[in-house]
Amino acid sequence: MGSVKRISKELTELTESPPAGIRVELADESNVYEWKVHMEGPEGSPFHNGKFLIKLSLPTEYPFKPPTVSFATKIYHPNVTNDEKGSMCLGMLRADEWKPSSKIAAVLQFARQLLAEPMPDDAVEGRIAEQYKNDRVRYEEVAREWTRKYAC
Amino acid sequence: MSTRDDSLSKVATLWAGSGQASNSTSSVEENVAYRFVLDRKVQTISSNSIPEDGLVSGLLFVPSLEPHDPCYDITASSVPPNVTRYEDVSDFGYSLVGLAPWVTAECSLSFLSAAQKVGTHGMIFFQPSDNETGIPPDSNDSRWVTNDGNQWRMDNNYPVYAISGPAGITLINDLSWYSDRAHNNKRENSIEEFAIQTETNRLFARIETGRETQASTSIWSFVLAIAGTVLILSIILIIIYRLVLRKRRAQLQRRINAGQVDIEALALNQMMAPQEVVNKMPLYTYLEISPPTEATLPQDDTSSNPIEHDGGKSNPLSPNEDNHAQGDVGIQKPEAAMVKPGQNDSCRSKYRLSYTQTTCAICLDDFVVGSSTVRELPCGHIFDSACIDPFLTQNSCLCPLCKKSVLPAGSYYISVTNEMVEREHLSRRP
Repeated sequence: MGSVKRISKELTELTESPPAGIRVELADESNVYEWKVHMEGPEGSPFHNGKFLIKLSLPTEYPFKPPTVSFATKIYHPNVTNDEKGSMCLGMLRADEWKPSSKIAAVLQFARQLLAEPMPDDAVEGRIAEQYKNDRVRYEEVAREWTRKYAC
Repeated sequence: MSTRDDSLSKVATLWAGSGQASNSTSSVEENVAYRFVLDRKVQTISSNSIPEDGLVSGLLFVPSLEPHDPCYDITASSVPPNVTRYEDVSDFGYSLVGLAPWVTAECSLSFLSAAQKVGTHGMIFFQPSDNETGIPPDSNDSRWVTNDGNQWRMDNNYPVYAISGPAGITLINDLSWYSDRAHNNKRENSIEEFAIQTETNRLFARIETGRETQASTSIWSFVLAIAGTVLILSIILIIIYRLVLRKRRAQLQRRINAGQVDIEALALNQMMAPQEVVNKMPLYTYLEISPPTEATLPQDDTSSNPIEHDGGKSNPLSPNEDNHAQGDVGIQKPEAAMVKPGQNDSCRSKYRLSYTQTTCAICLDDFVVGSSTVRELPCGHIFDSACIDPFLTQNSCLCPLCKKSVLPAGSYYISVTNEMVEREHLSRRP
């Protein structure tokens, strides 16, 4: 399968030269399609000092079909669903926007960037997005509190 | 049927026809002494000359057959000898309704013509041998068939009804008794009857058919007319709607064929490229030749490179990957030329973008000089043919790097759907 080769290649690259604040490993050594990603909250964001566990699932059609990203660690963020799934909404991961040339490293970097700069207009948690837009101080307070509570 | 002793010295018979229940019964005068009602048990077997209000009434009589008519004997057992005859009712100036047994078809024809002769307003038949008390069979039943091919319905210009055998026997016996009692007091068993015995009593038949039926028919036809109108209007609307949709689809198809429509905006990126289109795209071996110098290129590559355009317009992530590809270019440029030796300049310029690409964006493997078979898309991006061909034919017709369609304008292998028309319409509106 071509996808295994490409995924292995990307995994090797990410392991050898990990992007800042991101560390990846396979959830199960025998399955290249399920990844565990350890992401540090970006500096300057309320998630700073938090360590977030992200599950990355790759479809067997990868790279023709996009991977899915979900937060195993609870996080207070407009673009991450506040449920047990913790799905992250990334425009580039939508089936019609996904490009096979996009790489996992880029996806993860984008996800980390999203922690620092939420996109409230593309939110999955409308209430948090409202708060982010209208009451930034309170939003950051809650996000910091959740980070302390769940991600440290 | 009811009898009554009234000022006209006649006995009234109230008779409700089929389809008439409460109305006719309530219209019976209260002081009627004798009543014989056959609600919904009267069958019309000839509706010839039936009045518009469906009401036929008159004094009951039995038409007299010619004495030498064999039917006189044939029907004698069903006709009591002293029933009311035409002579008994003709003097009152009332309309008349005949009553006769239907024994054989020939005899019934005799009765019908006898009744026709005296100008009856209606005729009632019963079949003495029939023991059913319900409504007799309708006019199409074989028992009303005559050997004149139902000509009798034409010849006799008055309506003909049928009642059940038992009802007919009762009626004709009562007709006999009431006709007879003025002369022969057989049944002097009530004071009331003594009181009227010296008077002339006649049975009066009143047959109401069709009035209610007509009313309900008109209601039904009204409802039907409305339903039909609605149906026709809906059909017309649907046809118009479909025609409009078809026109719009045709318009969109024309615009797509003319290449005026952004396929991606129509979310047609799930659309795939047919194998024959893929086969037409250049396929060649990634070759090492001396790197083309900038001077050999007809124009500045960087400005016309779709990768650059792509990096400029796409999401924040894209520059990373594209920069990566271009970063490779910086390092590997010297060995990255791939134009086949011996190709002419036009081909060379056609492949001019290729030298900036050293990695297949799908498998992320570097192209191997002299062995990688690459496919070049119309946008100029090259991929391993083993990677891009299945992608184009099974996944999407858009370039994985720049998302430009590989399908040439005018060759979109799609049939336009209403949904696409709608989407295209919306995409143009804002």
